[in-house]
Amino acid sequence: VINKLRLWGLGLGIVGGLLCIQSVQAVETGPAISIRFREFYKMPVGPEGLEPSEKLLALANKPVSLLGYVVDQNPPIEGHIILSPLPVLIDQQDESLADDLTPSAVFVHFDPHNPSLAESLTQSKGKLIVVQGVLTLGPQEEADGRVSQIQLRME
Amino acid sequence: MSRPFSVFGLLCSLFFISLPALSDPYISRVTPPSKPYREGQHEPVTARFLPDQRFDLQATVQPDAGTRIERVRFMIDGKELASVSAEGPHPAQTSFVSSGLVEGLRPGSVVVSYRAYSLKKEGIHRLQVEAEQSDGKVTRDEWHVFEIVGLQRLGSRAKNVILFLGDGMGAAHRTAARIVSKGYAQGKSNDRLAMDTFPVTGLVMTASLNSIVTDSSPGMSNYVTGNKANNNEEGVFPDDTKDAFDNPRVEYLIEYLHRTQGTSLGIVTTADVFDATPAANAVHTSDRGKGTGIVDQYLDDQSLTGLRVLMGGGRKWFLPNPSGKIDKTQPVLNGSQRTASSDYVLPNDLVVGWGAAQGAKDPERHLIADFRSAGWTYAPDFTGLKNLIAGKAPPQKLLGLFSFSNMNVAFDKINGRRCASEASASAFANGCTAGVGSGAFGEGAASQAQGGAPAGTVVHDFGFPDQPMLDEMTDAALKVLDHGNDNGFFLMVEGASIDKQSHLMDTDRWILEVLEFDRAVAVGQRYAQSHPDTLVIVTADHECSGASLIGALKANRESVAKNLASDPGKASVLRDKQVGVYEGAGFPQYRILADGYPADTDIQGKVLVGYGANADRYETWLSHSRPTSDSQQPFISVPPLNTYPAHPAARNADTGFFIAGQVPGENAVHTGTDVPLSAMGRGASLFTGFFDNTDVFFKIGQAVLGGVKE
Repeated sequence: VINKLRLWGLGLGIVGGLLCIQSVQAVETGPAISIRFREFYKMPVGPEGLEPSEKLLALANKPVSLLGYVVDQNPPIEGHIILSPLPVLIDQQDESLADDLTPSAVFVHFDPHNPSLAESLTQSKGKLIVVQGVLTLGPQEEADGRVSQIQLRME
Repeated sequence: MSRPFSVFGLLCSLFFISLPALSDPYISRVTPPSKPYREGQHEPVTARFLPDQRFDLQATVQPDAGTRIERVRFMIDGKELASVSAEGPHPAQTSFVSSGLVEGLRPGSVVVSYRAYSLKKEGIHRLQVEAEQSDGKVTRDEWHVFEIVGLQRLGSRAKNVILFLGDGMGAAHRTAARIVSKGYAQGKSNDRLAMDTFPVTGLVMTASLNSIVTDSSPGMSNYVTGNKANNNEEGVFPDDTKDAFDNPRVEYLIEYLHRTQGTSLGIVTTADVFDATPAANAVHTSDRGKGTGIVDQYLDDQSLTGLRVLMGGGRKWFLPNPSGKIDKTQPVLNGSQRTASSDYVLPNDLVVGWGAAQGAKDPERHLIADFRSAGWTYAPDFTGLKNLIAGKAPPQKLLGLFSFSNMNVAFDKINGRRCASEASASAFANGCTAGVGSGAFGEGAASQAQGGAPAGTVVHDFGFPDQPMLDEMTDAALKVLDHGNDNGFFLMVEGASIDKQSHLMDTDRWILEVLEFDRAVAVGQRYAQSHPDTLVIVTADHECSGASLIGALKANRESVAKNLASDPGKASVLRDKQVGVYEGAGFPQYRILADGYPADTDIQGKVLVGYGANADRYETWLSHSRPTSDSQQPFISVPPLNTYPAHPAARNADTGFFIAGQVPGENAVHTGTDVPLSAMGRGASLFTGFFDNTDVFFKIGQAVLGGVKE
């Protein structure tokens, strides 16, 4: 019974998340392909760095959808959120980049001058949402000093 | 620690006859910092050093409009040490810097340095700075002093020092861990934590150079330099340049001991190894966030520190990031966080003065490979670590990087181990009822909804299911450092997430962090018992969260869950009917399993913690199967799941009762409360009483260099 409740709850959550950011759409046309965090890299992590999966590499520069938690960044950074498979709070004060982000976290870039989009994303911190955008790959130094490996671009 | 002449007389005379000149140029900062002596003070407020300990001298000088600074002279006790001119030439360990300065200085300001100065003569010494302007005006600032603290030759010396640093661990943290792990009966603790059994106890004042409330950088640095640092700064004094790596340095304890005694260094932490506490033993920077430069300096300056063991999280800084050269069709996605902006290049005067590596902006550097090339052996996980130390000859130098950033906390590591064994029924908060190893939770739950595999444990979510516990890392570190140990070692072991989970007010997690930390302390204690020339110190850099033990839970987990469902948010039920105070608390009785940790933390009679430095939060008293947020909340919550909280202010918002925070933001904060210190072994007797965090440095120095009467 409990598991069924969880599944129902999860389903409602996903729907709610989609409704929450229904204005979010990828620039490229065509159906977004769903990808999951655990499909990004070979898990568990090996002795050195992350190793991307073939599916991830194949989706570069294509529209995708991704379910995850909006990381609670303190202070928030204009123009991006971080999407994580786990709910996480990262606090620059006293923690800096010694954080609890999973290696698979994704930086979601959006137009900060789009007020409705920026507001809906900012207000989603800590929530489980689905984001659609164009997947880009490669290390990129972000405004908060972190280096993202995977980005979703919602322009 | 005698003074060769009257401090009072000297300082009074300096103050009255040497008031700063009213004429320009203006000498706005002199380093090392000191404060004008005031009548009635018993001690000068000044920088202190051990004999021959190295430190930098520096002055910031601001000229009148339309002029420039021509020359700056440093004098010690009236004798010229160096004259540094704008035109040069000047000694190689000096510099005359006029660019890259902070805002707010007059045009033409300069920062002038003399690197790696040292003095053996004990007592108070006078530091004078004289600046000459292009119009011929001269200013002399001569009321600054510093002290060389003498050592007494007393007897047996400590060869090895093990410093256990429970980050954020105040008295309440220790008490809570004792109650959980040992239990009480008839008012008496059934047993003691390992750290409780140390024969000597002291109380430490923890302020930094610029605040009554320190962060972890000066919190650690002050212990091992003997001097106060500003918040966010480690191993340096503040300055007026923007470069985070050129600040005036003060020699770390281990640099001093390695240079003079050949002592080796070991650093073990549960945090990212670039984090403030580990770095504040070996790396000099005014910005604790400069991860690339910090980890590079661990290796580059191993000849200065004698570093032989480095273990913790933070692999992300050790992987190459060849951005800029990247082929976008074949992107490198290894997770590297290395950047040029967080890397370091030292100015020449620092390189010459300290013998430090120059450094380079090289985010493409493969630091794991460079460690290996330098003779280090690398362990990526617990299995690898066990294999390395299983033989009779452990590696000479050991690098262990067990996660990408902070290691997972004990609560989650133990859950992972229990879920991987037959003991899964004992996992905390049903942490593995869904199975093991299937990936990240958020999507794990989603995948269940879509008919996929179930969620795994937290350590699987992070991709590092085989992480060692802190006691296992400590044991490995001691085996490496003890092998061929002719000249002694200094080992710093940090329980980092006592602090990090206290910030989040995640009571169950920080209590288990203290338990893990104490098990590491027990390893050090056993080593010292068989090596009596070892000094062991257990303390904290500061207290975090204002934790306080307020009572115990009167209900069991099921009753609490029922109340949360029927009366969400009602303090009249969730607080008034469930919180047992005074005799209502009784004596919590946890069942401890063979792994050393409780079978369950959500027992009836669970110890309850309040927070005096709290941010807004909602309290349920129950543990969370996931860090920060409880992703299992459908059991006790109302859908939809898209309201899952990620921070304490939102955690349990739909069920727990609201507790208004006393600080802004979403985290509990550090406090300025004094912290306990426990000591055992050779030299422990020096650590009794009440003292400043910088005093710890001189007490260690006395134990190692001067010795103690047995």
